[in-house]
Amino acid sequence: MSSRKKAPPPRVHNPTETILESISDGVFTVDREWRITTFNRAAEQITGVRRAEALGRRCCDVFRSSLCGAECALQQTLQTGKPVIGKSAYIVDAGGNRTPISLSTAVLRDRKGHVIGGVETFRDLSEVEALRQELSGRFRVGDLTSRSPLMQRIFEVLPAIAASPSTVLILGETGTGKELIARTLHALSPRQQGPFVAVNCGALPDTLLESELFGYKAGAFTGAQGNKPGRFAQAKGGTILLDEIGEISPALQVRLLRVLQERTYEPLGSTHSETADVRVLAATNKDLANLVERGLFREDLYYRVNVIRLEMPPLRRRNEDIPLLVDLILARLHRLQRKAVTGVSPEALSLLMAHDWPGNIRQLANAIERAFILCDESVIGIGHLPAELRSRGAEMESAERGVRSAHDVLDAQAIRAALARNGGNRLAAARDLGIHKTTFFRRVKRLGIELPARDGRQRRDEIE
Amino acid sequence: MNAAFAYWQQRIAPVFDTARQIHLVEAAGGRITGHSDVTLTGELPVQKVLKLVELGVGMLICGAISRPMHDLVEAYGIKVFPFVTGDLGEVVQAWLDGSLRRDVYAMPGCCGRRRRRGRQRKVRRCLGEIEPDPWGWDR
Repeated sequence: MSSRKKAPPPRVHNPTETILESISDGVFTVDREWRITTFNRAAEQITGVRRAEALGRRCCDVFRSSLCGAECALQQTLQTGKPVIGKSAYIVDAGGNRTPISLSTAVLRDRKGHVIGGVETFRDLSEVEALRQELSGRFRVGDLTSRSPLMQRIFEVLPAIAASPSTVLILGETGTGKELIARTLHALSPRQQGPFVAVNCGALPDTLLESELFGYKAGAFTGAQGNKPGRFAQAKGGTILLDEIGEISPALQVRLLRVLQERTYEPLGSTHSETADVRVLAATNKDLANLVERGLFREDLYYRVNVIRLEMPPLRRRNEDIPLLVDLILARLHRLQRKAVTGVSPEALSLLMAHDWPGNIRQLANAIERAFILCDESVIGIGHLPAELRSRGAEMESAERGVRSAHDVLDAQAIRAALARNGGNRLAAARDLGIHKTTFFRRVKRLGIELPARDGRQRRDEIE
Repeated sequence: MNAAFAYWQQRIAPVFDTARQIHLVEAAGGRITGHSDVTLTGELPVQKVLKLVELGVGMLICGAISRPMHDLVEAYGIKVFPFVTGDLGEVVQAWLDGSLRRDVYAMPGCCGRRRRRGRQRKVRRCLGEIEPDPWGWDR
């Protein structure tokens, strides 16, 4: 005979209770005193609070959401009688972890229609949030964000470059984020726990730069009363960025070459060599190869510095990043100074994307910050953008007339660029733009574009 | 020592990360020597913490607090007494009496983690894989 005990009969649930227990959304109800009267299985799992502990307790002590308190959604619902649906928040569990949720609320009434409390349902968005971050992570490495294929190529090699101890030469126009990429390389490198020291070699005169980089000993020169460690010493165990390396004098280039070759240097006035336990990154907006050709930059130093080369593309070659960058800049401005500005109008964004941005991201950030300050509406429009973006002769006036005008400005720019690319050849320009030649000529006429005197075809014929 | 109690509507605020009101209590020899109410206006977490530092707060008594916020407050040398619930006046009194560790002042799901050293721990792991002693009360 089996000694197995007979299983106790299952607890009888009413249909509503069964439904509540089976769903993956957390549900709890409260009475008019904000005390929890129902707390389902999913609510236990999401909050980490057992039903037995939750029942009878104040909902805010159990739920602990970012809305609890002054922004309580349930209180709002009970006051207005209107439900709140899909509001985003986070809850804090006993481990201090934040769980992103979306919540909805409704009023609970008895059969006679009297309000007896409220119900709150909430959904754990951790997985959605993780997926969202994973997706955005594809466009992000450290503090760098880009959807541009040019930048994606850099992102792919960045971890490997960061892991190596080699010297990196970062090239790029002003404002393209050379220092940011240097910081990212440092943050991804095994030296991440060490300091990151950036030195602008173009900002200091030669003699000062030497003592700044290598330090000095007491008595090295008049006024040197004590020892001063240089930037190489400060960066010990970390990374040093020599920005604007193309600006340094030939004499200092020799000293720098020695540091890179032998990993040693002597502070001014010292008789002993110090070891440079530092990874060197160099950056410049100059064409170093050209400087070498002209004899302004030592060839041996150039090859020492140019072990790994990273070229930061200018913003005009990655203008698909402009919407993303605008969002990031606005988010940063929001954090610093709360304003009701939520975004940029499509017309303004079109103008931003059509601009050449000679000052690159720095210039874009300044333009957005200016617009953010001037904007007293919810969306930044064309009128809030700096004049240089709109001042293209007659195009400026037309730009101010709204969407259509903004499109006209873009059309005119596109047509002019296509003509230039195709040496004035109208048909080739139309093909390049993907429009029929009739449409091309109609637009040229409407926008008042002056066509080049010679057609590209004629010139080719003449050459032939 | 100055202690700050994050509150909302005369109760300990459920979540410190979003709390705005602080009841500041100055105490010596188990007696209150001064108290005031302060509004934390900073939007950024660090602004909040810097305000506490400026007020000379040595201990923060609060409701739920996220780990990054907790670590930030402690990084500025302020001891955090988290997951406290109850009426503000009662909690202040309990702090003065040294009875704040009683379960009655612990938020649901956070009780059983404030036993003093040496006592046998009765592990009451809640649902959702919560650490038994996330804040080191038992250490």
